[in-house]
Amino acid sequence: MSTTFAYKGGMRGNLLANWSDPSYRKPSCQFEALGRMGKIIADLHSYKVFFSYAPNLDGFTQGWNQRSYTLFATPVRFFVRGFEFTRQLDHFIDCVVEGRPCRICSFEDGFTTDTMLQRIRADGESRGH
Amino acid sequence: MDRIVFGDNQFFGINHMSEEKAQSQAERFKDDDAILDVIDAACACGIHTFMFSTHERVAGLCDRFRSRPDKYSDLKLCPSIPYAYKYANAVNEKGILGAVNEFLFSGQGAGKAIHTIIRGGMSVINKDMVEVMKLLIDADMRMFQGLNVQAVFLQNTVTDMLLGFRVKEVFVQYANHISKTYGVDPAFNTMNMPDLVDFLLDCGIENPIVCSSINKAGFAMNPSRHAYERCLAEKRFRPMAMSVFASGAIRPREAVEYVCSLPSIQSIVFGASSRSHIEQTKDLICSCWEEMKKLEPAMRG
Repeated sequence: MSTTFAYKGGMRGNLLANWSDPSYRKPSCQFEALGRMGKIIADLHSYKVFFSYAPNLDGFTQGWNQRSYTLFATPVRFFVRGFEFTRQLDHFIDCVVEGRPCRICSFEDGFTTDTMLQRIRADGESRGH
Repeated sequence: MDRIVFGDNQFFGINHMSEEKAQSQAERFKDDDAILDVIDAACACGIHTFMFSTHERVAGLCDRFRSRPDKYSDLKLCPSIPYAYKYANAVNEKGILGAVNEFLFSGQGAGKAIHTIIRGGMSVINKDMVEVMKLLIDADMRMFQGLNVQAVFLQNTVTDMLLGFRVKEVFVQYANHISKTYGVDPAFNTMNMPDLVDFLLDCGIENPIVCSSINKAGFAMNPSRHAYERCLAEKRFRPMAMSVFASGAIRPREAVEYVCSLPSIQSIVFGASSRSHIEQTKDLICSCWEEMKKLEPAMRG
């Protein structure tokens, strides 16, 4: 599945999700966000950021910067098929126990995601896919 | 178990650092001859123990090993079962029953067992589920018939899922099946080493072989590097270290010195795709272990 997003501010993005193509060993996902001053490309293994200017960010320079998840993925209390599932679960439990709002991937974000999936599907069907 | 074991990730497009590198390796090793060249290079460097998943292509490699006993009689294999994506792809294309029929060649029997699992879920740990497990193990192990198998590893995808459910029965039955049917040690890959070791010892599986990521960066060491170091110091098991370079994130000498300094590490698994790289890594591991052996009396004293 490949889809392009166009935003009112001028930013554009591409999302590619593949789960059944034999040219990929396992399901893969890649997104690209394209802005006027640079771009971000991310997949399951790493992200790459291109700055067309010298950014005011520690560790990042003008041009391409790549970070592999082996360098920033922190361990979780129990790993099963990835770090993400435990991390999401623990974050949810921590928010409930500590009585604080869930700022990372809230129910509203989940609703937005479902809405976007529906719009992608509808857009694909309108083009005969 | 040999101190140095050669892994197979690079042959089948597995690289945790970069998708582009994974794909270029998959392209480089799309012919079995390219894989055999690297295996031959590893043997020439004195490495004779290889860990292989049960990727479809490994069956072809095993045929090549069997066809040249003059060349490959010293080879020792550590299968790591199952290769989950093979089953996932088959289920995607043929459905669960079709996939099970394909791999077990016993349609009706397998169908009955799968229906039992679907009805009962993980709370129904009965003979049928264990029988399906044994059938799946035997199906995956078929490709290694006639070859020198050292130990059979349960892949972390399965180990950690079952560990999460705390199903002792399945671990015990797996260990018994491997010992009795294949006459070798059962072994386990995991991404949760301290938790698994405690659980295996609790199951009565003594001095288990456990292969897990062990590296200076703490990459994929769950819940923490500190928990791993404590487990290595306190528990009786045979640890095997993989991902020692954290997919290239740690400088080689620093990476190997850290792992060799840990107590009781039995073996190090690594992968490489050129003779020079294999030689350098092997020499580095051997020299670091020698240095640690000399330091041991001083550290104990």
